Amino acid sequence: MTFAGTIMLVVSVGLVLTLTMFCFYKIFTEKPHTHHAPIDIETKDTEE
Amino acid sequence: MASENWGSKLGVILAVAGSAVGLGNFLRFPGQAVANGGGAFMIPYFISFLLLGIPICWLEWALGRYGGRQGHNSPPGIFYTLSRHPSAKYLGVFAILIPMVIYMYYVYIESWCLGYAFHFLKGTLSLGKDPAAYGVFFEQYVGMGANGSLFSGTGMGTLFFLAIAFFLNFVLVYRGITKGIEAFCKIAMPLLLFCAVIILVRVLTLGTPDPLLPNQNVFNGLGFMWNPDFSRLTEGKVWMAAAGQIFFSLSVGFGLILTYSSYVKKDDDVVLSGLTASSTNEFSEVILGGLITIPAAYIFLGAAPIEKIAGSTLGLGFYTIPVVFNYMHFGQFFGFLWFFLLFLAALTSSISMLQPAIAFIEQAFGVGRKASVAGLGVVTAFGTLAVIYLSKNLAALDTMDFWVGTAFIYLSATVMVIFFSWVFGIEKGLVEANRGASFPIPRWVGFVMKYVTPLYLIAIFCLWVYNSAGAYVQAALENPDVLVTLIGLGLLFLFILIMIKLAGKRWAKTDARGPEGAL
Repeated sequence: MTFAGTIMLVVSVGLVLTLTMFCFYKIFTEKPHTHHAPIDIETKDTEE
Repeated sequence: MASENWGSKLGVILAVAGSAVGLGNFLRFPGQAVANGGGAFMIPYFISFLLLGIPICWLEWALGRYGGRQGHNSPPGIFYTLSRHPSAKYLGVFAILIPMVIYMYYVYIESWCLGYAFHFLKGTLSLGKDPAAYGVFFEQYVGMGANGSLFSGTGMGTLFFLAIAFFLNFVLVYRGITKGIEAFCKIAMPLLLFCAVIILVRVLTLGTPDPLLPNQNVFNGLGFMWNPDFSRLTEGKVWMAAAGQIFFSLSVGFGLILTYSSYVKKDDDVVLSGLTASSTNEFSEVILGGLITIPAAYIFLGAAPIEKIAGSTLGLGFYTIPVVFNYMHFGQFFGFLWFFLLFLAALTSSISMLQPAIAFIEQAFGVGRKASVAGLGVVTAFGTLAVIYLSKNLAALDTMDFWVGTAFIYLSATVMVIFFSWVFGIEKGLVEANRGASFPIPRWVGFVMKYVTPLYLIAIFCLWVYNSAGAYVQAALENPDVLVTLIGLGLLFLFILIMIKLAGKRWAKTDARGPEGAL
């Protein structure tokens, strides 16, 4: 692996880890029940 | 109370992980990176993430939530209600077609995971340490030798697992028990990530497994993934593939988020929800997917054969990961666990791909969920049959994955960003997105959404047309399997346009009756 490759690896992993940690921190410190992922959203069309 | 609060927040993160992790991370991303310059691919990939992925994710959450408040949950309906121009509803055609077509081949790959899990459990995938044996197994399993070969006796196992996967998706959607899946995935997804970390550690400690091939070691494997080759950056297809991968794996730009966000409350935090989903996806993709599959592929196969593997970007993980398990203690167990959890991750993604079309059928024709699911089941079954019949070199699968999973998503995302910035209005859009947000979208992102993102998308498209489109068209004309697949996609496109036209008539009547008649 070249020096440029090492830089690419470190910067990429660092960027992704920082962003993920920031988001998780915000989720844990903000008010509950307002954040969603598609699989926990009720589509409200399942009852007939 | 505090622990309940903590538990609900952990639940949100696990649900995000369940939604974000999919086949795009562990199977598609490594194949795309290998086919588009390895380390060089990461430059357009991260630029696309910052300039396309995150802005479009936010605008899709915002547009969907706004459309939902007006009573529309399907992409054509949302476009219609946002502009009130009758033609706007046709912009939603991509957002119906794309998830539906991706489902047609995604469920097939999903079934490979289930089949591989079974074969690991049974011991029929303990083929020793020769990588070639796994290649032969894969090619036979997916019927790459000839069209229709899966319908002979040897392909029955493949079809059996496909039937299970296909049926399971529709049963879960039909019965409306995705909440149960969500609860299950809150356990399964952390287990998948834990399993991925174990495999990552094993790959990074493989050293030089074959002393006769000293260059095929971990260090060079990582270099193959991460060393940038700037000369590849002049190729439009590399930039387009990077953008396509971002759209595919973040599930943005093709109506999925647009549909789901139409069901959230008006003060829910869509900014942090979108960013968390994107970052969790990148964690799985770059750190786990990028550090496992490609280095492993390089170590066992070397550089030259990788780019030619099957001609399919989605097959790479099935060639290489099983070899890694045979270099591990309890490899048979971990092999089963890995592919079974991957199957579950794929299941949560494929179920969500069905929702845009289901919502459209329900609201376009006033039918219930069961009728809608049944109709969609018939259409997607025909598509999946085409994928498995045209199995020679996975022609139909790769054609759909490129033209729909990359090029059409690209067009759809371009339509969405222009619509949000220039029709809906960037100021109004940012106000809508920031409602209920724990932190506002920075002002400069508005500038990016209005000018940079559309120009970036158009520039890459022009570059791709200039230096690559001709080759794709020629390949389509020379290969009858590709041509047949494209004709089928064209017919489906026209069919959806006609359905949208019929839906528009119904919506116009509903509008004339006033708000109480709104859908």
